[in-house]
Amino acid sequence: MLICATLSFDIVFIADTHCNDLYSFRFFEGKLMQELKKIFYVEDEPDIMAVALLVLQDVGGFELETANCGPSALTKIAAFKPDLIVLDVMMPGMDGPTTLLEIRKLNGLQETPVFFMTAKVQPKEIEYYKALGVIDVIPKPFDPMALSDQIKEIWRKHHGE
Amino acid sequence: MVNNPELQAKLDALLNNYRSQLPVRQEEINRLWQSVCQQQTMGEEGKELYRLVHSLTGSGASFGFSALSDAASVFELQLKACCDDGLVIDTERRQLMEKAHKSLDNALSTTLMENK
Repeated sequence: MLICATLSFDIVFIADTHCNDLYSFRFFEGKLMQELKKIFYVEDEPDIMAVALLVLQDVGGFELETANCGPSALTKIAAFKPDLIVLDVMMPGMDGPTTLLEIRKLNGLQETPVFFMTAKVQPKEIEYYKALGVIDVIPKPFDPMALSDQIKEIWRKHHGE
Repeated sequence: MVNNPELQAKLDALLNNYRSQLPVRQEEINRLWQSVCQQQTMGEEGKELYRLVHSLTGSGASFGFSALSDAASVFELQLKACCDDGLVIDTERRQLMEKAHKSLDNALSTTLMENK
């Protein structure tokens, strides 16, 4: 059963009592857009993971769950129910594209938006990522203080299309 | 600088941690490069070298060390060609890689010297 409530002038909450999920939507440029809250981030490089985690939580205000490799991500991600998935590309063992294909086999994650954050950004590589269905690519190295805004912009662009 | 002392302190701690690990990374890159120089193809050590250099490309500038990311990126492209395409490391390719390795080594040394 879906319950809808408007608690402020521009935010709408929808609760799905069947699976105990709560979604919030915000009006942006005249459209009702799901708010980005929960991000699942897969990254094998501890320094990059640490700085991204810090800024996405403290600056962006997002709720984060992380994994340091593809197999670990596959065990955690379904329970977290992310709004958005961020994957590194070059990881030992299971790389980002393979992790993405495996995530797509999991219940409830077939449509969750995914983008890659990677230093592998040759034109042919980006073409390949897009063919896999990722919504965008953030090149590494990234500016930590701009990362949250970059992600919000990708989210808006994705929902505006 | 960030207009939030608590966040700035956390970022500084991460930066100090990253910087403190650079000498170990430099040593490992040099060791692996010396090993690759003895081989005709990349092998496992070459792939490990590629992974380490790729990691510097993607992280350096995020911690304010743009020259490090730039130098690593040039070396990474040389290594990638040999790893992904299985190219033989001939004399010409070795010279190009040697030059790129030297630039990265210099960038690492300069970064460490300027940020003691």
